[in-house]
Amino acid sequence: MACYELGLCTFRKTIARHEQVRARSRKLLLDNIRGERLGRLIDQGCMRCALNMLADLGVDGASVYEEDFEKCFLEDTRSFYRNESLSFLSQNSCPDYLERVELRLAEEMARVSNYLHVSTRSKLQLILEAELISAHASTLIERQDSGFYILLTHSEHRMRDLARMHNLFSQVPATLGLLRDALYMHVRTVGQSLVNDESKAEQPVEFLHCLLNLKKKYDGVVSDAFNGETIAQKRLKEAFESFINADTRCVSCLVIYVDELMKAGFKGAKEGEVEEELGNVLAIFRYLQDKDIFEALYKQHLAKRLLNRRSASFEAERQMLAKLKGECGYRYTTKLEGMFTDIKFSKDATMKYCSSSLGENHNNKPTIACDLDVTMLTAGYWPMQSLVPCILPSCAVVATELFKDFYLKEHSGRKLTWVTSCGSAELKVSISETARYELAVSTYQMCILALFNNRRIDDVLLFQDIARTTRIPESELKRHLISLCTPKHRILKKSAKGKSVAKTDTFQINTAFSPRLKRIRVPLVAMKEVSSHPHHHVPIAVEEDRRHLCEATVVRIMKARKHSSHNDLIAEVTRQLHQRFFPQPHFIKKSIESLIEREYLERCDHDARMYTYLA
Amino acid sequence: FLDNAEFRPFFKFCFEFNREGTKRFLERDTALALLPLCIEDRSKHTLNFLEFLETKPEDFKINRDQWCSFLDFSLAVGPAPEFDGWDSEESSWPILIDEYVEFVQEKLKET
Repeated sequence: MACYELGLCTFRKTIARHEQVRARSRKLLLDNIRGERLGRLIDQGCMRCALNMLADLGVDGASVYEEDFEKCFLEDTRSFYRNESLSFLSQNSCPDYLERVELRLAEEMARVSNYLHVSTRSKLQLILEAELISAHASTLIERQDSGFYILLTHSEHRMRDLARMHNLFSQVPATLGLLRDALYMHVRTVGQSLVNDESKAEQPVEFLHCLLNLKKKYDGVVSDAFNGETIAQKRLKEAFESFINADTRCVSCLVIYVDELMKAGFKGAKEGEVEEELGNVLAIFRYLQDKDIFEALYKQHLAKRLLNRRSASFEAERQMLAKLKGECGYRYTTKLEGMFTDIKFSKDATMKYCSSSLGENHNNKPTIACDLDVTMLTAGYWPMQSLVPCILPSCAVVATELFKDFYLKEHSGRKLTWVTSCGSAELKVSISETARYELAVSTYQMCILALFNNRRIDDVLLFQDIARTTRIPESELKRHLISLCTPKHRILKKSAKGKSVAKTDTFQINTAFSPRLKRIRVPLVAMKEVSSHPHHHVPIAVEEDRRHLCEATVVRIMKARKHSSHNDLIAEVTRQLHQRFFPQPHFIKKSIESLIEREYLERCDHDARMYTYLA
Repeated sequence: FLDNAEFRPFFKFCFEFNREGTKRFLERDTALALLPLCIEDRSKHTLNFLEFLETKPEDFKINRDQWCSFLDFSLAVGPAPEFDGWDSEESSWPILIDEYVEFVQEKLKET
């Protein structure tokens, strides 16, 4: 052994570890540290020398620094911080506690640089993280007055505290996981209470605004407090998906929200505004599981807008379609685009028709042709159910037949059916010298009122007769009749009092009706929606669509693979369909069984879990 | 006995023979009478399954896949109440079989 080392060993044995030195010096060292932690100024240089000395004495296999100092130091540190954190937390708010933790952590790291041996650093770090952060993680998250949940609720003012919390918890990955879970739980709870809020149930637009605000708020939390980390973003997305898809009402609210924007909100809007709003809409759309229900509802509302000329901006409509196409592929939007093409084509065709009939009419007076404004709908694109048209009054029949002849001359071989459930008419009413006015009514209402032509003024018509002559479906007939008998627009008198129409009722012209305005639009009474909308209401048409799609997908997969196990098939079908809607395994099974029965597939003889494609 | 390679075609034949003409199913009552005849207590599920079938409405029909699966099921899955070998999560059995298992489990819960 070298001389120097021998000297160290001797020093160690005789002095440093002398029974009257060892314990005392350790106690002094620890007391100093404790004092400094409590705010006292100590001689750091002296500390450094002493501890370096202990480290140097660790030769020849002995570990003096660890045994004579570090072990006790770490235990001391642990109990010190255990106590301090408990008492501080019990008397202070969570954000204040976290601020203190930050300070303490910095202080201890400085201590390492100043006089502790560098090897202590990681061990010290572990203890600090355990006692200051891990031990209190759930309290910090859940405490009712100032915990994480509360900070989230007031995130606008508490961003710094949230960021600090994230920063500290990031040092202990297990607690960071707790924090992310808490974020998920909180957003989910807040979202669920919004969705279940009955007062918002009647106000789709307001509901959407609240939803968008929610998204903005928590997007902010993730970007500012969570540093935009991808895992937090993912949890946020999961939270939104969980409560939005718990109730299909969200789908219809989104559709109505867009409807309002297209009808009114986008009037006079600048291009940037439209882009931003639609971007918001798409952000919510992405969370939807039942994208096919959205498509069906959107189509219905779009049809109404296009037919009633309610779109404030075609440009905005097109932009929305483009966004949907970008999100879901071109097949999602072909029918919607077809509707636009129909509208444009109809405009051109109507103009052509009007000018051609003017050409034939040598009086140069406006002809009956120009009184008719026709929109041609390609049957496959529009959501109308094909009902049998009602019987139109004779004046209307003349006009419609003329148009039909003109159209079929150019497009022979096509079949035209008038959609009498839609459409409107302008009627000029003259009952007497004083009672003259104009009415804007629906097609059905026109049919009803036209029946009173060429009769005595006080003639009475039976409900049954009206039904028989016009062939309007009964429930619609009731609705359109009621609209003509409301207190505000009592154009007809109903025999029996009350809000509803009975089959035995009779109707008469109300000669006393004298409107203030010359031209009145007669509003339709709203249909009583079946209000027993369960939370997972899937429209029948969509349900059928899903069945067809699922079966077609199974067939396509089996045709390619020839054989497949049950689980693989379920997984692949889900993979192919889930962008549009989520197919439950039970739902897929039904499709499989139906295909087995129709002999598209069969089960393998030797393995009931395998299917084989039957060519 | 059930394992016998000749039993399977026989069991299938029982279904085919009792079909009416071009129809691809058996009426409920036909199945109720037929099942004890051709498989009896060789399957530990027969009695329970018959009880289950009786809860179905009169116009209920059983198709070939369901019928043959009953045999495979009897071979693969143990008797109530354990139903060893039946996996509720990833069952590839016809839905009718799943309903049958649930029916028996519900019944046992009540007693």
